[in-house]
Amino acid sequence: MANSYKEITKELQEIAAEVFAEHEIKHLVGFGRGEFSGLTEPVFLKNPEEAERLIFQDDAAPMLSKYLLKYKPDLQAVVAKPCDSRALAYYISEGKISRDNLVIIGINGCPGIEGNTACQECDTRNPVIADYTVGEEMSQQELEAELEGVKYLLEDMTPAERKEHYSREFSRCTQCYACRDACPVCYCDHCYVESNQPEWLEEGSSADKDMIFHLMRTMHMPGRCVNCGACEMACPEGIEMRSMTTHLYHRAKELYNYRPGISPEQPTLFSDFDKEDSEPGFL
Amino acid sequence: MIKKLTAEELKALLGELRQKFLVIAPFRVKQGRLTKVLYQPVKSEDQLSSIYLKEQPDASPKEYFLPRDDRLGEETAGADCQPEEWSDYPRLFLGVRSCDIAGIELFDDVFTENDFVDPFYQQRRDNSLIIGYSCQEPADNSFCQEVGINPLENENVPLMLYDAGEGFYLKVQDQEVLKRFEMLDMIEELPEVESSELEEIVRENRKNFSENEFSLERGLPFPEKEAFTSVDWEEATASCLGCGVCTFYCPTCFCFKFFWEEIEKNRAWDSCMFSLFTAHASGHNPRETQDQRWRQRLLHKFSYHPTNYQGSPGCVGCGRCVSKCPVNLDIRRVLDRVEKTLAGEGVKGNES
Repeated sequence: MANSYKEITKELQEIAAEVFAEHEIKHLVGFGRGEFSGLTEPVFLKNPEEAERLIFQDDAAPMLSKYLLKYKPDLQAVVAKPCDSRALAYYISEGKISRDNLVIIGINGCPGIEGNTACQECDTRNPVIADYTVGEEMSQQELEAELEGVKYLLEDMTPAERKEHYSREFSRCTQCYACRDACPVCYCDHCYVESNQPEWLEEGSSADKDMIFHLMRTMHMPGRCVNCGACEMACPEGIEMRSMTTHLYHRAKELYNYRPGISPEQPTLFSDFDKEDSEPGFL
Repeated sequence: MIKKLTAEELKALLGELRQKFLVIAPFRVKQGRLTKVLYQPVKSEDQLSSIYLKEQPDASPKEYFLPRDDRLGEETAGADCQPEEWSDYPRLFLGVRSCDIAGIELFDDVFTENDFVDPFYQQRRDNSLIIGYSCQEPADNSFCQEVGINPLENENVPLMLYDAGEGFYLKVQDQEVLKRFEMLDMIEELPEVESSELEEIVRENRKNFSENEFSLERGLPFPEKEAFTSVDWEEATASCLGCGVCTFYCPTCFCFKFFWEEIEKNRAWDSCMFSLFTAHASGHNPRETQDQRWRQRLLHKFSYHPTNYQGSPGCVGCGRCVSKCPVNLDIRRVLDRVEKTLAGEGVKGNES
């Protein structure tokens, strides 16, 4: 069963104190309540006295894994939703960050994030790697029962219908790049949208250019997207961003039984090529 | 002069005004998982019943004055290329709140300043008539009163609309402007009431704006040098992802970039939160890290802008940057940190 936010919060506060006692960490990255807004925001705790600031709420949407790249190689502790733990496993598998520099507090039986459609089709409800865990584990049986009959976004649409949907959705894009910035696997030091020699994405915000941005971002996602929904949650225009990436996620799962970030030892999708692999194309 | 009118009468008035103006008003719009309130042109008489004034719109009317993509003309037209492509049909903005009115006034200061008049902005501005709207309760995360804005009344627009529960009050504040747009007669026809009726409504609504947990203790501008060097900007803004949502939704952020499409010159929104904003052709970037960009955004609003414009803040306290931020990074928390740091260092402030 999924755990309650309240239980998770209580356990997180207890374990945080332990983590500070047992490890010489730079900080513990978790969620806290905004002093004036009351909204959940990422916090960087420096000492055990701050442990009671930790919370877990249904609006804890940001992926904290992303912050760890900013402060590596220092030893850091992090509160990881199961999707965050997959992003971390993926980082480790790519050599982006060392396992030795992480203290992971995983959330078992994650109750999900309000409004995040990714949580409805989530196939990882317990962390894949963790040093500490909070909450009861969710059994595989229970997870399968919950996923029974669940369709992913636009699963039943034809490519033509999907294209029309994408065009309509992406026409609202303002190129703020919040989707990219919130995405745990969009970690390039130099993103193609910021390249002007060559200029991959021309200046301006016509429907065509908006589409180019999203298509190019999506092209970098097969075998990398952990299907966390952070892109969609970050979008201030309510663009159904996941409708494209979730398709790639599920195609990789169906065709190659591949899910990114399931284990730190897992090779990446493209480095695991086998000439027997089927090649029907991704669309 | 104060007029009282029913919802039906307001609709009839707007219907009449549609003969003269393109009426732009807030509507509820579904966008994916979000339902937003956005300014949109009224395209038909029927739409007048769907105008939605109850909540602060998700975006200010900024894009109608400084469009996201602004075509400035062909290069061959020379340096004095004038705005002529788009219509000079007058526009009427209905239901603009004090924070957003202040945002437009800030643009006036910047884009129509003595020797530096932006003809594109000015033409749009001259063709626009604004009917203000008195807030009944504070919007989420707003702190307008802390930056000197009165959410209930605003004398800087020719007409101000007040929701009276049953019906509306319309306060005429500048008859000259109404004459210029040839609409004074229409307004004068409406029944006039005593100002005490309206004052009572404002007094009642003011109670909803009593205490704000956040307060700005220090007057503006913040001392540039001390704030720049003594605040731990990295610590205060560590969660910033570096997207431009706060600036795009900000009613006062106006930074732009130029680009060419063949021989056509364009201007589009830019953001100080982007790494490319300050990147030099040499490869050097004077603002290399995100906290430096945050420092720029905050100090532009609370130090540089007030320094250049008689103490007037560059922030209108609408709270949208907080509500829209993907990680809920709160500018009030950062301001609080700046104030505490300056106070701790014994830096004297201006009288608030």
